[in-house]
Amino acid sequence: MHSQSSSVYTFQKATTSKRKYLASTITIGALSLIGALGIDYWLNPQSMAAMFTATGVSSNGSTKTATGDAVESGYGQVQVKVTKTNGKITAVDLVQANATAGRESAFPTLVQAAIDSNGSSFGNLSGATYTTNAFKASLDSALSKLG
Amino acid sequence: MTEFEHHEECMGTVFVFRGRTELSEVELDVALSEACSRLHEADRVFSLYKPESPLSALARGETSVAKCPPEVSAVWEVCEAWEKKTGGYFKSFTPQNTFDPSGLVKTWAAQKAIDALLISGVTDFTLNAGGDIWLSDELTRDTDWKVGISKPVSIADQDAGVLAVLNLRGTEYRAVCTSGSAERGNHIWHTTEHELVQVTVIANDLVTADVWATAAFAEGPRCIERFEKLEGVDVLVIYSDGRIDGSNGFAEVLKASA
Repeated sequence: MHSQSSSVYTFQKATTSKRKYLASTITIGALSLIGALGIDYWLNPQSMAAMFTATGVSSNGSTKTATGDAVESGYGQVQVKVTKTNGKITAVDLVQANATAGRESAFPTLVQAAIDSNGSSFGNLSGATYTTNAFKASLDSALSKLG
Repeated sequence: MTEFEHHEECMGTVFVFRGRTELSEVELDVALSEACSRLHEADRVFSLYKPESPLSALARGETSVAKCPPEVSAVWEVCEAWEKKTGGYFKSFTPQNTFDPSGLVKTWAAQKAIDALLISGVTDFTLNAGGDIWLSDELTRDTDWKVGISKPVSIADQDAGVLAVLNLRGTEYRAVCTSGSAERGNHIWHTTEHELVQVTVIANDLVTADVWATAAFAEGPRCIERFEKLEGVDVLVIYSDGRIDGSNGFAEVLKASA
């Protein structure tokens, strides 16, 4: 899941350019960045000005997890969870995305993650109603390879 | 413990019962044939492809609902109720105003078959009703809890494959139904980007998931807002340009499946 989410919810280190930061808020990708930065601040208060708070944090040895506040904008809400190991961000996960644009970028990630962890291991395949002939043809082709 | 897999051709598609049971082979055969007789009985009454069916006679105006077998008026009422619930997006009347409950009869009959199997003591099984999936509460095999969602191409197509896998263990969802154009020989992508090519609905109940999948496909992308207000029913949609979207509840299930 992490490798996929990093491509959609890119985390970047805090920059000092507030204008650049504000401009970036018009994209959902930036919204998750804001959440991530907020959590980064929560974990490392020295790293940047106090702009955001984290709503939940857990710690397991050198690994810390924090969930940011839901960030509200014209695009809706986006909330991310940040995992830090040895002080470095190792994962940024989407917790919630109610915005249409945010959700649309979240779904491909979630769908990919769901398939990555399950592969072809499933009992049944749901699809548009197939005919008897399509079913029989499928047994000889791709479907049979799916398990 | 016997593993079983039974394919039953009915209603132009295939119903696959798969599971495990403590019943003897003979008892299982009786249970399965009882279950499948419910499917064939529904097909005999409701098929509009069979000119001799009561529903065909009804469509030709040769009989009345009152003179049809009692399940016709039962299904009529169920259809009317769903038409209201879905804001008219689920339809059981053709533009010529003939009663066509095809959108509901397959899963309605499948539920009858499921009930028959459960009553016979078969409680650990899944049913694949031509692409609409139902899971029993007492599944013992891990993979049975996982349901693949087909890519929006025909299962007979060489590009057939899995779009995502849902793990429904620990959820209230027991039914996964998909509606789309993939099996209708319509391989031309739609030109408007806001058109849907496939809709998958999850719910606790098979008929509920089926009806909402049909309704959501008819309504289009705006159905997502509707699903956010529905309890226990969630949707995943695929646009003609390949984009994927859905309700928050479906995102939760995908996340839990990963």
